[in-house]
Amino acid sequence: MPPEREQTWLAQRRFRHLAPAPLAGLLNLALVLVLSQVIWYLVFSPTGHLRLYTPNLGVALVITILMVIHWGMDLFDFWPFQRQFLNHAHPLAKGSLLTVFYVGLGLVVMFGVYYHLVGRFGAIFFSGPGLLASGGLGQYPQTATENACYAQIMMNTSIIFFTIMWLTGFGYAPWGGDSHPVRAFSVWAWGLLLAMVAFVFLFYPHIAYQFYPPQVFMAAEPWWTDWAMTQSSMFHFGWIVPALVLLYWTGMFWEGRPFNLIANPWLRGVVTLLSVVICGIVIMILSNHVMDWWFDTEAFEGGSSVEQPAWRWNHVAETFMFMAAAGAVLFHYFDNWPRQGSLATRALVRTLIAMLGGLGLMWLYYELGPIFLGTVPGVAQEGDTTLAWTVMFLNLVIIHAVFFDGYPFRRLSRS
Amino acid sequence: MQRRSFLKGLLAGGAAVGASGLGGPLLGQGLAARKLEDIGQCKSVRVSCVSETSWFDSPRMLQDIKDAGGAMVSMYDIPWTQENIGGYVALIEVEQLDGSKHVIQMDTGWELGWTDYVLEKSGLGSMLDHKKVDVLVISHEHEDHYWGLNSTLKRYPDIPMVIPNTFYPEGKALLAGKYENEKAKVRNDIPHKGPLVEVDADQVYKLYPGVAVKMFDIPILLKTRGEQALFFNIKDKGVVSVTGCCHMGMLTMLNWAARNIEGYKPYGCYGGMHIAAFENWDPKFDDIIKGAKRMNLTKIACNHCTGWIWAQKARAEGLPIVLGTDKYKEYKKLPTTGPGATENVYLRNGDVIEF
Repeated sequence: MPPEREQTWLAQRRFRHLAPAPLAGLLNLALVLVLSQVIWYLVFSPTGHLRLYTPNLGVALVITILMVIHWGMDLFDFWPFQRQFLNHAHPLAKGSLLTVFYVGLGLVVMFGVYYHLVGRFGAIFFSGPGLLASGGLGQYPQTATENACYAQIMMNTSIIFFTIMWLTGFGYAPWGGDSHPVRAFSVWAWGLLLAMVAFVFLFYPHIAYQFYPPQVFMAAEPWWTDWAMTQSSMFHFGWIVPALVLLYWTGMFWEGRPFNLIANPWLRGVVTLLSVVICGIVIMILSNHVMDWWFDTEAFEGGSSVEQPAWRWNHVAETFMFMAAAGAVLFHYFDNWPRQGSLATRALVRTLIAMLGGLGLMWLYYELGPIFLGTVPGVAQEGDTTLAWTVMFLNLVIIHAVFFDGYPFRRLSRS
Repeated sequence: MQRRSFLKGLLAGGAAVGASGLGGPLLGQGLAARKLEDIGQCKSVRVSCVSETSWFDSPRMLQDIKDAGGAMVSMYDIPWTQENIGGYVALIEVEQLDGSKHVIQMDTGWELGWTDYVLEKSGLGSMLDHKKVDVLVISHEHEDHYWGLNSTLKRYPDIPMVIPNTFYPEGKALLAGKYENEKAKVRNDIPHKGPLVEVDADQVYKLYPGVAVKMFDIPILLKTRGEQALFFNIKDKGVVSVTGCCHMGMLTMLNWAARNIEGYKPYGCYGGMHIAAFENWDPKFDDIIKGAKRMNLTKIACNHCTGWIWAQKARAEGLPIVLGTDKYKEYKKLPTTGPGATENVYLRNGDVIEF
């Protein structure tokens, strides 16, 4: 990672485990699985209380919270919270306060900024109530909410991608010489701007064409159709998410390699951006080949279920979020094993564990989901996505491992 | 395919050198030749739309779903607005090559008052009373296709039935005449006493010469699993499908038929196509219009959950959408859906189509 990011609280934390290493990790994993089941039941489950697994409403919520956590954890280094508080507060008090703060901020972003600010005075398609109030054809309660949340999901994913990409590739350049909150705010604003530009080209045509009649004066017809075999912008989601996961793994598993071999931040940034975008596209295409084989059929224009190109592209994103979740478990709960051997070996082993762990998690999701999550057996349900669970799980791992220091099986070492 | 060109372009660029090595052998292994199903041939098929109006007002239907927690909630856990619901029933008459005929009922409607009304109005009620229906095929467990079962069983309790083998316990209890749900307002106290076939996804169930049932084991919204379609292979014409909602997707279903039915030749389809069911739109729906053009169908008779917007756009793009009549206006209740359509692009209640 860029040198200035090695000074963050996250990078400087040291732990003492209250149980032998593999056992502590397993206990933490068990704890977060139980927590995820409780949260799923209370917040998302179709038989639970809030029932936010609509599914886009729930997906938008967990992705918004993930975005806000990234801002706080990776960009602002937990500002305005002080190091003294982060290092010395009891993990339960600290974790509770940080969770309330960041989840609360996520709710403000989703229901305040998107629903009632942007969606009321600007881009109405970000707001379910805004679309509903428009009274247009097809803008009925369920579809208006789902459509608005889709736009939020794509926007937030772009924001996360460009924020993490900038931090990984460019560091805080060109604001590295500024004081901490100033440079963090600068990258935050820059990440928002880049995401908005990307959204205009990659997702906005989809939004304009998801209405009847299509809003032809608002956006170009989706230009990627001939390549993607679909007008859906899921095509772009399918490469952005794997690219984002590669950025995650650059910092977590590959210890900044290969990009930190480039000293010049601008060259490093450009190489990082191009590399992960190209790799994201290649991953998406290879994954589609694998799905051709696995499902014994090819996707085609107008196909449904596993033959639907839009679902295929989305499923690449879903698969890589399973891998991101498994990778987070390895990084946070198993001390980023292995720690010995050459960097190349360490990176390879960690990556393989995350990939295989993600596939294993995905298999468990589809096998056990009907029992524990209230899903219907099978894959490629219309309008459904596994992202509600995977992003929620990823959030919970981060919240538990970072905000709560992995309590009770792990504590911060103050030496 | 254009996607192939895109892939080749990237492969040529060297970025995906591994793709050729990985994709080639795996595709070759996975997409091996399969055994085609010979379902025989029939002479003609006539489909009458007994009822395609499962709900009369789309916003109300969606409000019910949203209030209950969205499309992933079980249909048995939703307090449906009773004044808004109707049901889906189709009557299919098949003429065999030897001149004999078979009568098939697809689905049993939803709200019992409406279902009784359309059964009587269409004459299907009388046919059930006199056991002149050969078989009842339930497309899937969804409320609007199955929950009106009582209206059929009270007329013909031992009617032979064909259902997907993926029903939830509630659906099976309904069939056994042992189910009442006050919240969702569904009940049936008349047990089915006739022969029952539960079709699994691995079989093609051949009903009569030229008539087959294929079940697609797919997850469906409102916590439902599996939908089956009827396929008819009509001599000198081609294959016609009849569906309830077609949650498996119109083109995916036809693609299956093209890959699995011996001598497949595209001809037509009838029923719900589950595209823009609630006057909503998505760019993916435009894909279906483009894809359908390549299917070379002669007659597309759609209604129910197809979405009139899709049908209208498809017709404008040159697809052979069969227009309906004004017979539906003779029914005691009219849908609020569709007044914006420039033509009657649905086969509505009371309409008939010959294949």
